Amino acid sequence: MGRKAEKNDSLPGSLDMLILKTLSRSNLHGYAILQAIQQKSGDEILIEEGSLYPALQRLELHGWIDGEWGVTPNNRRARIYHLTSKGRKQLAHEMQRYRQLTLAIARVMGTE
Amino acid sequence: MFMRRLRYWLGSTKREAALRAEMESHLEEKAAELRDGGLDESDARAEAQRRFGNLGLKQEESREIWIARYWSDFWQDLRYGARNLRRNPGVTAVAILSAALGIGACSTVFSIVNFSVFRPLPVAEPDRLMTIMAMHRSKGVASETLSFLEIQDLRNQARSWQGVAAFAPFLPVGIGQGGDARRHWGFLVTANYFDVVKPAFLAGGGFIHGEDDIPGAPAKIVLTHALWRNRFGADSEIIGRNIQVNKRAMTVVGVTAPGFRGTEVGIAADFFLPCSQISEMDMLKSNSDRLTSYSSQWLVGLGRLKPGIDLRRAKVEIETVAAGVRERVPSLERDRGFYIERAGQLMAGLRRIAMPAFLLLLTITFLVLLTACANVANLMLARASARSREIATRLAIGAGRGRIIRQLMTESLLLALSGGAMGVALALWGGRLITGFRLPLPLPVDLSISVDHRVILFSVSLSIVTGMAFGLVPAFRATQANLIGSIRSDAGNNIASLRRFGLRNALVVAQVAISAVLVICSGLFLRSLGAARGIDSGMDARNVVLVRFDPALSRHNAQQTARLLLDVLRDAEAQPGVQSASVTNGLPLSVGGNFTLVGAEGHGEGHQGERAAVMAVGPHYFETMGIRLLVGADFRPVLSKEPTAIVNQELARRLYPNQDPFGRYLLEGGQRVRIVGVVANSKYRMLQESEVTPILYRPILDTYVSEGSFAGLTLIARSAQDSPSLSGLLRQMLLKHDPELVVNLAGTMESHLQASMFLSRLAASLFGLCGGMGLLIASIGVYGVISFAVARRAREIGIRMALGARSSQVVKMVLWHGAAISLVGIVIGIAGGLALARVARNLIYGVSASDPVTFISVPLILLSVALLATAIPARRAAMLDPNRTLRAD
Repeated sequence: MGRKAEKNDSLPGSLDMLILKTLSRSNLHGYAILQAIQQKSGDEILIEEGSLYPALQRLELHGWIDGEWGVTPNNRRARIYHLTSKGRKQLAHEMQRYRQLTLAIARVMGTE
Repeated sequence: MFMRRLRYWLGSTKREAALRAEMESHLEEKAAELRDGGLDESDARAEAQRRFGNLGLKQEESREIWIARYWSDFWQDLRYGARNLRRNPGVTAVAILSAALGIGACSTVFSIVNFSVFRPLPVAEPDRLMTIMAMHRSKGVASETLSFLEIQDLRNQARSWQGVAAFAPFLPVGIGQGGDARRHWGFLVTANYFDVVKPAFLAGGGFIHGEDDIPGAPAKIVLTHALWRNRFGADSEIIGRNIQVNKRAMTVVGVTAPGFRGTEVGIAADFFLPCSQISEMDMLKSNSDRLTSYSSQWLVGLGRLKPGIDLRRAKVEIETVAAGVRERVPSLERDRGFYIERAGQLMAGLRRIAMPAFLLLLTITFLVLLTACANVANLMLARASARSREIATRLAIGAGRGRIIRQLMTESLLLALSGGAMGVALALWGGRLITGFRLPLPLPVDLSISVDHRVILFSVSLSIVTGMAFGLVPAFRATQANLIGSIRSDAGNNIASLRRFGLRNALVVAQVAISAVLVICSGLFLRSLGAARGIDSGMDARNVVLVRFDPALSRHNAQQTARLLLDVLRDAEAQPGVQSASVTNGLPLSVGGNFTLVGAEGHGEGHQGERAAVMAVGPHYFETMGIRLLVGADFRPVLSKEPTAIVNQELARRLYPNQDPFGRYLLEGGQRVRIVGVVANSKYRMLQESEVTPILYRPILDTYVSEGSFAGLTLIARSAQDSPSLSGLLRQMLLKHDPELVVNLAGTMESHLQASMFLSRLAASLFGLCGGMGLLIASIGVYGVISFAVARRAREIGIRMALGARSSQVVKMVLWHGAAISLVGIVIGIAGGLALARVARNLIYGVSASDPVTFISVPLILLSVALLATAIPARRAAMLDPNRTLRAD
């Protein structure tokens, strides 16, 4: 609990990518998106929770995701987001870039 | 993307609520989870919030994603600013008014410059239309006219042009018949004029190229909208009809659209006649060689460039044509070349005279604007310090300094733009005022100063610059405030406010200085106007009426004209009350003039002669005008056997210094002319002319009838007393001799004299207006700064009074503050006034540039106005109740 949320500025735009990837698996509301990312990363990635919302707004503005009001499994009213077809393309594009980038870093670090 | 952003922005309130709900729900869910994990209620909430981060900030960030932040802030600032301005209506009104006066003055002057230089002619594609004139190649630009043959050479040889046309302005004709004939001015144009110029037509069209240039073509005329409306009652069937022009029928072939008054800035044409009609015009002038000789130069060229042609190429080309002309016609001036410039500008010769005057005017109005700026800046400073607590609070809770500066700047710009809008209204009014100015000319002067998009653009840019100028420093100052000090105590007696106060004093000093300069200048011009009233014109203008008529326009030949003049002179003197009457072809004090070279007999061949004004006058002219005849006799009402002349003293002195000129001969225009009399000197072109003009008077019966006249004739009659009905009687008398005669009433010699002082009056009224404005603005400034000082020092004054200071001492203290800043300003202003007066020396007549009356009285006036403005706050200070002020905090 005492761990401080890290700002993930090491890889710019990576929060967007993580959200898109998470939504490609299932439609979720904001809180569940955070939880999903946290679980998948084995609690390695901690996101300042508030930062999620500007990011969601940005993705929606670009038309990559869309949100609709609905009811969560815990019976709360929330906006549940899903990936659009444009979003899917964007995700593919970002994953491609991500692979190139990590590969390049790995080469530099000599870990390949 | 943009559309979606716009949609988000428009629905932003709803969207914000949704986002808020979403975030709240997130917090609740988190808190619930934490509670399940074993935390108690309040800890869980706190932890959830800690994990979430700054909710307000995240909301802000989201909003920034929807809309560019700049615009949202701008709207907010604008609304806030407008609310603030409304809250202090008095201060706002003074600030807007100051800005409006300043911007209005500048915009008015700019609209004059716009009229004379920038405004394009109302024709199709005006930027391709060029004026072509002749110049002295060695001296640079000089606007000289071209011969018809040169125009033809240009048309045939220059390839860069779609067409080359020409016109001659100032063509007087009589239009109408049966006592209703009036003199009107128009252009004589080449037949392709309208094809080249391309103005819009209301009805009909222009002339036919290759047909209407040839002498003997059927007589046609094109009317302007103005003439068609004023003289022909906007007759919709006029095309194809005949109208009477110089007693001859001419067919109207076109009426131009409203706004088109020919192609010469400042001159309003009423009609257009083709060159084929030249022989029908000035009957009495010899103009047989006008279309056939290179030496007859009387046309202004106009060319329309082909699209995409470079101006430089066109220049090179016309120079080639000019070189060809020089080669073929060796008798022409060797130095003669052509030059071109965009049409629609004041003619180059006039522009050289007018531009310095415009620059001076711009300087003056700019000074007014500066004082206005200083005033508004002071008001903004006062307001900013009144708001220092609000600003400090906002800074303390985390507003960026830049953000607050922007807020304050938005307010300044709002003020400036409102002022600018009022300024445009002022410029409209000023333009109308100038358009209505009467000139002492018989010519169709067009000063239709108007406000167009260029003037508005100028005003808006000026407003923005102004807003920046008066807003920036106060905004920086305000946000530098000592936070703790400002929040803690309101009536800031702290150091920061004192420093700010120094700036305010400096601004008022600047204002007083500038208004001192303005008032000094207006004082000088008013004194100059007074001096002009005192100038001896050499004539007696009282009880003299003027009636213009023009026998040349009703086709009188030499004999008929001589007969008519003799009859008219006899009958005019027989009118009741008339003491003497005469006639002249060149009324003095009409700004322009006719000059000729006069030589003395016995000088060698090389002697060029004296440049002298020449006018033809009838018998009794000198008696009627009140010019003393010194030697010899007046002209007699008969045709003389040999050429005779009367000279004024100045011409006599120049031709035959220290000798008696009476009975000697002078040489003029290849003639030996006997001097039959010498008269006293009198003013010729205007009252303020600095040198005495030599004048040559010729008998009108001999010369007018053989030479004609440009401005027609003026009948002058002196009566025993002021007689308002005399003009009408003279007109009837003239029409009795010839019912078709063109007669225009021209008022009295006194009103003509008044009009001839138009430059002095214009300058005096402009400077007077500017000076008055400056004085008003500066006194508001002094009042403002002293009131502010009294309010600020209320506590100090209270202590002084509590310690036993008498109210008279307090009054003295406050007055001394006002006097001190005013005195410093006035001293600086005197220095500035001396400098400006030196520059404007040529425009000031009869008063020294360091006129002691002005330079002593103006500072006194300024000082008393400043003390008056100080007196009100001083009184307020004296009435302060020490009990109250000391307990205020």
